Amino acid sequence: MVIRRTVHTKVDMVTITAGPELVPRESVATSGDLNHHLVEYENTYKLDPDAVFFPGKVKAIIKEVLEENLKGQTYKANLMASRCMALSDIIKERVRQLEMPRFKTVVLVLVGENKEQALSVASQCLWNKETDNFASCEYSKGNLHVVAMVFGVYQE
Amino acid sequence: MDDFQSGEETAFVVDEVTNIIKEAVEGAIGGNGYQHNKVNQWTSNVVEQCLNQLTKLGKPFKYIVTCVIMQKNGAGLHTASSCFWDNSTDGSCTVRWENKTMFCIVSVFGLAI
Repeated sequence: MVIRRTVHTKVDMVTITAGPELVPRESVATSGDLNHHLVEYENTYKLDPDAVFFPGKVKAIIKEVLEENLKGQTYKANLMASRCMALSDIIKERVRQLEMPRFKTVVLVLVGENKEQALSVASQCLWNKETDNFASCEYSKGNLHVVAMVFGVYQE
Repeated sequence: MDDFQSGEETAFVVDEVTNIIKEAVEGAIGGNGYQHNKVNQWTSNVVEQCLNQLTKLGKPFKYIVTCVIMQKNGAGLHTASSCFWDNSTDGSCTVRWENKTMFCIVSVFGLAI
């Protein structure tokens, strides 16, 4: 069996040990930047994905990242913009390490101030429910409220 | 192998999606002020309306639509997204809408099949 080489697995890994502020926003190179020549693929004859998106595993990752990075933090408007972007990058890289070939990942992070106001979040997806899935996790402490969502979409 | 689909017909056109989102928000919330018991219904109406219109475009995409409504009382809110996908085919679009009493942020991600 010929295994399809997917170009989008070529990603420069970002070192995420350096603390969230130091992660450069545009540090991830995608296929568009790396290969300008067209790659021709052979057929894979695969009808099902090799890996499964496990919401439980992903939720654990989100929870861990949120707790690691927000320990003892309170909401400060000027800090949270960059913190929010850093969080989404870290979560994305950690989910990537689960090695789910041909899965696209979308991470959405909301960082809000809790002033006793109401906040309602809804999402809906059009996808293949056999292969695609999502995980979400909330973190709330003091005046800080964070919601993170991860969507895993299999490229058919 | 030739791919006979190309160009606008199969691309994620941000302007088109922006219009769909704006119409959906106007349709669902319109001129209403913040009402606590209506908010859940509004958020689900917005995402449903968006998704309905997106399917009508008939493009080979999987879509993820999220909607956030927050009451205005001076509290801050940041949102960020990170995606691992094919830059050349996939796209996203975020629209911020507000009136006197609330904020509404809608994000649409389109992932080519």
